[in-house]
Amino acid sequence: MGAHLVRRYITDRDTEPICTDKPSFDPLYGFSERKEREMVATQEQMNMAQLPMDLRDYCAHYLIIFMKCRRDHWPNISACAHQKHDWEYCEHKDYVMRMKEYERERRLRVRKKRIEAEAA
Amino acid sequence: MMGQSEHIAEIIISSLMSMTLMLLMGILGFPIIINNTKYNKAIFTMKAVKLAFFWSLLPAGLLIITGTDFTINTWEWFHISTFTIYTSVKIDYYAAVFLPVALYVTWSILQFALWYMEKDHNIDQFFKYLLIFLISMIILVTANNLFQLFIGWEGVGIMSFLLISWWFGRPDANSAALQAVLYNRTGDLGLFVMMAWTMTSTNSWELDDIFLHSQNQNMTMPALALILAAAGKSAQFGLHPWLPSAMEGPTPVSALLHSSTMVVAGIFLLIRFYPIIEQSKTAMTTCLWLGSLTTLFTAACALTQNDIKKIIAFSTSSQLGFMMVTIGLGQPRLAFLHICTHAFFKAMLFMCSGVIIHSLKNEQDIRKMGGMYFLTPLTASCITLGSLALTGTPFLSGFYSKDAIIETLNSSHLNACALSMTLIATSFTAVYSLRILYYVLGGQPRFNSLSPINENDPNLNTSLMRLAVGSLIFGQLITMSLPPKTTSVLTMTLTMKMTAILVTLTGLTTALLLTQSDSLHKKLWSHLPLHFTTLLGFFPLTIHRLLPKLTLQMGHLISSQLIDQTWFKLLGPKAILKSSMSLSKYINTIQLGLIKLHLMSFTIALLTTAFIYTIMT
Amino acid sequence: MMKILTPTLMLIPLTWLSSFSHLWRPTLSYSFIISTLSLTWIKNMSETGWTSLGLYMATDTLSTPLIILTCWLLPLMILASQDHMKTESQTRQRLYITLLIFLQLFLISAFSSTELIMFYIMFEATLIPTLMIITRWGNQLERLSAGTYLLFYTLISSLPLLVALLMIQTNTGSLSLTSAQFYFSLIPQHNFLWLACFLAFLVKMPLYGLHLWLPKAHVEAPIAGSMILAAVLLKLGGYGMTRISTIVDPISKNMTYPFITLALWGVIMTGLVCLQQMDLKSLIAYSSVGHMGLVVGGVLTQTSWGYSGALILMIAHGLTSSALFCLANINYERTHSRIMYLTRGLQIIFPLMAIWWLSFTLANLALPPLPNMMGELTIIVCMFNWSWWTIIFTGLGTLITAAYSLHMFTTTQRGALPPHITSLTPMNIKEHLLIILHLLPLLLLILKPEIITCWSS
Repeated sequence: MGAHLVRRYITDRDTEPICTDKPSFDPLYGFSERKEREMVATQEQMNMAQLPMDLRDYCAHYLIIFMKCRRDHWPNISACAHQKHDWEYCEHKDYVMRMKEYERERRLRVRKKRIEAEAA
Repeated sequence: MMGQSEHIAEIIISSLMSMTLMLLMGILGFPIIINNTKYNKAIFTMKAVKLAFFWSLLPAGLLIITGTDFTINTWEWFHISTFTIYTSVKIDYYAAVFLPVALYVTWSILQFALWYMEKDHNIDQFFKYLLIFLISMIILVTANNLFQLFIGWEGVGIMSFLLISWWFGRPDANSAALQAVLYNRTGDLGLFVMMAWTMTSTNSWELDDIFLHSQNQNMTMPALALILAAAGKSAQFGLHPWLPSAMEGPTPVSALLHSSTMVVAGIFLLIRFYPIIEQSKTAMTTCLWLGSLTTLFTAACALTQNDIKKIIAFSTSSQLGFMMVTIGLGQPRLAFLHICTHAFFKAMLFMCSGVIIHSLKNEQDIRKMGGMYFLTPLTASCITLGSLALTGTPFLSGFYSKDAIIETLNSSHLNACALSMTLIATSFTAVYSLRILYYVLGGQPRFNSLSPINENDPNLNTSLMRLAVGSLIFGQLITMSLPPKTTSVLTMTLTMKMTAILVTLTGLTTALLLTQSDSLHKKLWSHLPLHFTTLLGFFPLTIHRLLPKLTLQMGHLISSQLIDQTWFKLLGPKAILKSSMSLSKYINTIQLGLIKLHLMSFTIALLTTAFIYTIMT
Repeated sequence: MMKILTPTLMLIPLTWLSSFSHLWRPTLSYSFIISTLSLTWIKNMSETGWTSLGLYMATDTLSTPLIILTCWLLPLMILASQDHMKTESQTRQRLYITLLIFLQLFLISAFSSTELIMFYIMFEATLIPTLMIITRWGNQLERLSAGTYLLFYTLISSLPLLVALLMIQTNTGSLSLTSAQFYFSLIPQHNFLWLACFLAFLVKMPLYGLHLWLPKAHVEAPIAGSMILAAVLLKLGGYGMTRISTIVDPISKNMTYPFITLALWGVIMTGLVCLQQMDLKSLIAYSSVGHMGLVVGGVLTQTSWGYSGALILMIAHGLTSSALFCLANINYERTHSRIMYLTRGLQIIFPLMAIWWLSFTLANLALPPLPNMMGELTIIVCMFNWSWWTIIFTGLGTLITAAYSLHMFTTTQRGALPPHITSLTPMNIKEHLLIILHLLPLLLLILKPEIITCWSS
């Protein structure tokens, strides 16, 4: 819980990215064949499903399936464990990816600083 | 066609909702109004609450199916120039879940009170008070309007005053009641600011309007005002001393007001106004710090208390701080979940303490208890269950909220110091829970041999068991059945996942080891920490003495004696009196009937006039 | 207008001609009928704001609630004084009632007059019966000095008003309120004119600093005097200020600053005085000064919120403080002491009275949704809008109000009964009725606060 804070405030104050900021490097830098992520659920589908704004992310299509299952099986609340797991797994992968992006940003910053230091 | 039928369905559901709420109020209001001596009013009240609970499952069920919030505008109450105040009711996720929880807990507590207050002559009145309190709480929770919210807010405060001083012959109870109201009123200043601010900046007291118009404004002042209000009601650090004092009230009151419903109103306010709090970084940090300070301080105070009710009260305070931290973390829904789960086991803990106090002839000191495990098995089981749920033992209801909060806390990027304070407080939870169990349940009986120990009353048993069932399954039930609104934290390392349990276990083992070493009579290095926590951080000693003394002295010496009786009197009436007295005395000396003097002055006046006249012309 | 004034006048022959054994009941029922009749004014049919328009008299949404309050108070005063007048002689009882009737007459005329000079005369005329009631039927010797204070404070401060009114009359040729908007521009706007117009009302309110007469008068007055003083006479000040502030403007807005400051400071200072007060009646009187401070603040901001809040608070406070004086008197008639520490723990003896005490304590500390709260909140909000620093004073004021109100309740009702209190006569129905009749309008106003809010200039 505190490791990045130590870096942020004490050891690497200049290179540690702020986690609410957007990435500053080119996303394709070093990943030439990387494609942009696709949003599976459409805006209309999400509207129809009345998803809360916070949940309209890349895993929304799983959530829509899960919500539909919940309504169909009401009041049996334990029926949709699989659908819920699918959604949560997707969210997990999303989280891992975001963390990786954060780490990439940090390392790229460190690298940039090193290169600049060598050049100077 | 599709849209139209959906529209119709929505209308039907929303009218169903309003009907439900009205009926709910009707059911609850009925026992207050009727005055028929044929029925036992206390039982009648309890049954009404029971009915209301089942009835309130309907909106909760509707919400689970549809997942939409309802706002019902009913009536234009009044206008002040162009400003209109409506009565409008909001049944959203928070209200729809809180209603059944509050009613369920109240139902159990009322049934418990049937047993606990059996000997009280005014038991009917007591039940009415509790019912009025419940109605104010429902008004607070379902309000979609600041004014309406304020009605409920003040209503619960006043009912708390009346209920704490239920045994009004006791000076302690009266002063505790007064304390509660004054601390609450201090918090109300925040609500006043909030109302004034919303009126000037958003020109509406409807919550939706406030949220809509408050975008792109500097929200620090209203957010801090809300935090002040919440701190007063939820006994956060600085305004906390009233909560332990409030334990002077009867145990059902402690169980209902000061653990499960009224004190969470402050946190509930912050949850309701989260869109405003969220916009101010300062406010969020304040929440975090205030919460962590409260939770650590009160948990530390709970460690050294010997009064069983005080320990549980401090534990409540600590949990309230924990909820505040959760709001500071940006997770209002988790805080709300913790409110709900906490209500079950904390009410149950209070009820158990009530049973024990009753059984041991009003003995509240845990050092004079012991061995209750064999004497009151049901209560002992419940108190153990409640403590386990409180410490967040996996798969009891406390686990679902507490664990999630600590996971979020671990993976957040916020102030590490505040977060570690919260974790330390969490480990203290295990320590004071252990302390209650160790002293009350374990060991030898340390009380008089002729104690009226009895837990065979059906009212008592059913109510305890009902809450026990709630503490067992409610967390699981609620997390499974409610639709997700935010993504929960799912990705973390094993140690982070286990932190909540590890921290609790650490506290537990340390406490156990210390208890063993305690029997060896090792000398403490200093008594200061002990005094600090037993005397509640010297808070009551300083603030409660100094502040009233200063105020009263100022009132007496300055406002009354100096200003009113001296200056105002001297400057106004006395000054006029003095000046006119000297004047009249002076004139008096002339009017003594001395004819020569009169003639003299007449002549002088005549001559002067003539002189002036001749000069002028 | 005459529908009310004539019956009120006819109450006087009723008082003097009815046989002595039937003195109180007919006057009471007759005055109740009058107050019922006055309720018809609530329905304001007119679009211009003025209804029941006569040559010199009319009512509008500002004066209607106050007139109804006046009419409502007369039967209550008669009801409240019945017991302690028992020992007086026939003539004096009749005289007492007559004075009360005259008071109502003058008050209604003052509130309903459309000519400022008539308002002024009636405003002054109310002093005479009040003075008589206080100095003749008060309990202690201090009543004489209280009467002097009352007379001189209000008289001295209202003389400038007369001069100011005459000046306006010479400049514009009219003092009519109904046509004020037409000659408004002709009035010389000057700070001193403004001050002269306001001073009389500020003393009557009373503003903190000019309030010395009020606690004295309240403490020494018999119950009816305290009631009418707290309920209506103070409101004359608020009414007058609201009326006159639409006619004269201060040249600079700074002119109101010292008065608002004093009023807000007074809220806190009087609250502090209340906190350490031992005399029950004096406590209620000081609490009136504090509440009226809020009204002054509300009116002086000259916003429609301020006016509405002031009106709501005036009506609500009128009922509340009058009821509190009644309760204090009921205590006094039994224990013969106003000292709070000698009359403790009465809940055990009078459980129902404890409920009344509780209700009015809560009303006094402004529990929502009672109209007291609506009024205070409206004023607090409008002051906040004016300058947000005021929230410190208004907020602290509400805190202190809560403290002393509950302190009053706890001390008189809660705790153990002191041993010297023995053999108290039980409460009778009349006293319960008296309190209920104070409480009912307060509760009913929750449902339709617009009756007392919708006035805006």
